[in-house]
Amino acid sequence: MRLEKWALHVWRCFGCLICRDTISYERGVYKVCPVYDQMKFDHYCAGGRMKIAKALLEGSLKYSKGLVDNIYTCVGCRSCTEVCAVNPDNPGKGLDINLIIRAMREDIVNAGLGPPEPLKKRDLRVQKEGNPFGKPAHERSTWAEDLKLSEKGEFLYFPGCYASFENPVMARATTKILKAAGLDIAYLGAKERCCGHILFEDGQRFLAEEYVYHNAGAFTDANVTKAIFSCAGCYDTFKNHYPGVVGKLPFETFHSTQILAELVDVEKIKFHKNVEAKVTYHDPCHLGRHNAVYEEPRKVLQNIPGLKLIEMKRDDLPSNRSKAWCCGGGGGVVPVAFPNLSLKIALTRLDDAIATGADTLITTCPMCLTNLSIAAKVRGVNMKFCDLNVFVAKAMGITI
Amino acid sequence: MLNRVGHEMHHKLYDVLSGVVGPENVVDEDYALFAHVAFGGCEILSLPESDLTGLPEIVVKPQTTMQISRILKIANRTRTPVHVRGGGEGVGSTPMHGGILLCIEDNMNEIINIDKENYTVTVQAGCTWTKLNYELRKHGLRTGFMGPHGCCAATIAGSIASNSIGICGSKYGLAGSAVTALEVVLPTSDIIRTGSRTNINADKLGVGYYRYCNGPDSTGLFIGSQGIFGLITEVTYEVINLPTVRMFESYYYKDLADGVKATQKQALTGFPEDMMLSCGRHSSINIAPEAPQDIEAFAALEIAGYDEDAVAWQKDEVDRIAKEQGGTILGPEPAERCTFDAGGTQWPPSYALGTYLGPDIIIPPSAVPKLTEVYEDFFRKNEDLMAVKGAYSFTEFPLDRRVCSFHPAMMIDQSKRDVRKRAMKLFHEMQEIKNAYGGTSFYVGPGEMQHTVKWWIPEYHHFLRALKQALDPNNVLNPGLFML
Repeated sequence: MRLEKWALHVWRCFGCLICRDTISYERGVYKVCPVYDQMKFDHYCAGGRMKIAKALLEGSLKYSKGLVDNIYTCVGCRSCTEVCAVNPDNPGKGLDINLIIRAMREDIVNAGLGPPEPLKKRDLRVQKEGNPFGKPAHERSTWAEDLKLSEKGEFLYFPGCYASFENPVMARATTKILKAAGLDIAYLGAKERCCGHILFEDGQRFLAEEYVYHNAGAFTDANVTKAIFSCAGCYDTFKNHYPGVVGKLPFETFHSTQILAELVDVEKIKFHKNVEAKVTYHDPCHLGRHNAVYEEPRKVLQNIPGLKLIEMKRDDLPSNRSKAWCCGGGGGVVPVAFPNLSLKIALTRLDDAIATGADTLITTCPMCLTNLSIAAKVRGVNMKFCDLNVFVAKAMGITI
Repeated sequence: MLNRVGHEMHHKLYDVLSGVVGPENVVDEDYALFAHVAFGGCEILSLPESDLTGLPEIVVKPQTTMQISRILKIANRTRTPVHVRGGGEGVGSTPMHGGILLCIEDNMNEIINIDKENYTVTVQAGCTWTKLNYELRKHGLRTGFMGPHGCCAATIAGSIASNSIGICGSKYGLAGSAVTALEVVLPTSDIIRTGSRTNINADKLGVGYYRYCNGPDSTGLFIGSQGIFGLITEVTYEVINLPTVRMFESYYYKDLADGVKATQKQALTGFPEDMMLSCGRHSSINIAPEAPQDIEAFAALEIAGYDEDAVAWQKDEVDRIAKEQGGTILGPEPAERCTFDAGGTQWPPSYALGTYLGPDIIIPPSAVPKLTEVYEDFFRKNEDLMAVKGAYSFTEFPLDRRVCSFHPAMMIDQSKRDVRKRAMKLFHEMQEIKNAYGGTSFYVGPGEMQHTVKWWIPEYHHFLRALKQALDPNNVLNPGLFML
């Protein structure tokens, strides 16, 4: 049982339930778990899930259809980890609930009890075409046909499935900015496959590992020293989960905003025109809490003349950086398996954004972008949603 | 583990309860039941293998006092036990074996009235301390007692029913000290109000403005009762102006008795907002590594008020007491680090060493040195059980200026089954030590009750039984607690 590996962590949770719905001025927290916020029972928050994990470890409880569904409702946003402080490996830091949930999902998959049907179908599409949308694999590099990118080089850009198939403007914008700043950008083209993020999240570790081996091998063949990602999920997967499969990567990993912030610093990215816009920035969980990249996107935005960046708040407390509310994207799991839950969480986040009075929401994860755009359509909100790379390219006057 | 009343009966109960509160507020799946049962800090007593409790049959989240009243009517009719839980992080749960578990938390957490003129706030039972103080802050107010240590999920009524100790207890007492009135659903489903709220016209002058009126202190009947006499649904609580000046200080002592005495004298001045004393060399240098390694006690306190000079004068006074008692001032930083209003942050780091195992004791401060000695000896004999060698601590929190709560604890590795089994045995031994030395409990949960009740004078237990029988003839509400 994969969960056994986490037994020490599971048993270290003493059920204080700070991870549930805490509102605390002293801790600067306005509610913690977005799933509990909708579902209102303890089995939907980390503390309750750890009690379930203890019962599973002791054999007092077996996976049932209901429990399987329950385990797949966690969005993996790591809000709970942020407020927790009982990690036995890292005193004062929180339990990594996301990894414990993944272990439970792996056990479910290994027992043939999951993932839930919609995810199974999605994972089959990944297996068939190398992407979750079921689009023909050969269409992956269509976005780059006119860009003349080499397949090998020091800097390699990995757009991932979302940008390649669903949001090519994001991939083109990222590439064009980096090229305009003088970087010689390489791209795997047809050799690129899904990073495996959604498979890891689904508990399909064995399937995910195939993609890890494939992509890591392709990166090595391409002589990459710096890998650049515009998708927070791909970045998190390469940085934090690939080494667990293939060992230390022979290249560094960067989210595009980290590179952009550096290029702004050395004035290789300059903004010449005023951009009169009121924007708010949504921290994706996989870039923010999972990887502590908070300031770089803000730094880039703040360098755009005329732009007003307004941070999101909840009542009197911040709802940004480590305190940002999840968009409901849930590592690609919850929107597919439980779309209504995902939408409700996204609507709550949308409320935060609307309250800023911003006309545009900018983010750095295509899943957040999709989920929040859907929420806005449902609510009929006239707000623009834009990937940071796309916004920056436009602000630089680049034709995408 | 599941103690079902039988399929047909169960489905009937599920349907009836769904009819009262709505199906979205009822769960009965086995995994959901596990998720709702725990004993917070004393996790060792909890499921899955506790010999002290089992699972409820159904978990219900009522939204109103009337719904609770209807559920109790049903419970009396069907003779179904009803157990009550607040935030669910606490130590004072009930011994459950089937029945209904009512969770009174975010489903009933409205702040009903902030009476700025009369300095009270009235809230629904499930409001958490942190939420209440977050809202009060907007009005320049706070509660005196600010909630139990370290647990942001704790609800007002849960703390009152289990008589919590906690943040700012040295000046303001326990959770129940500042209650002025309650709304309570009695086990028979009647709804009553206590204190000045007993008078139907009194709320016109200020909601629940006073506790000691209209006869016996009926409010007191429910404080620390663990819900055996009734289920608290609304609380009126005293509030104070939010202090504008705060100062912190920490001290160390080479002799534990000096540290205890100094802390007691400082508490008696009524100046410190909150205080803690770490007893014994081991726990003291753990919490204040910057102090010399041969200290026997470390103390931290906060003075708060509304005037810089007055607060500074009070701080000088408590500094003088510490020095007179052989203490050395260590500076504000260690005290700020284990600051109190951040939710008792001195607790979670020790939880990273292992899971807390130990009794919570109310005693006069004069008994602290002896008990420290006794428990230290006990811990050393059982050191092999600790998650990390030497993972034990002794903490004293002055209470109500005069007595204190004392917490000897060892940190164990619960992930090992044999450790849990032995720990359960040790827990009971530690309870016996507590009682043998005259220590008392501020809450009495399933783990404590057999030891606590055993040492009661028999007439007291008869008295409680008579009250329980009068108020709860079918013994449906939190049955089994206090061996009733």
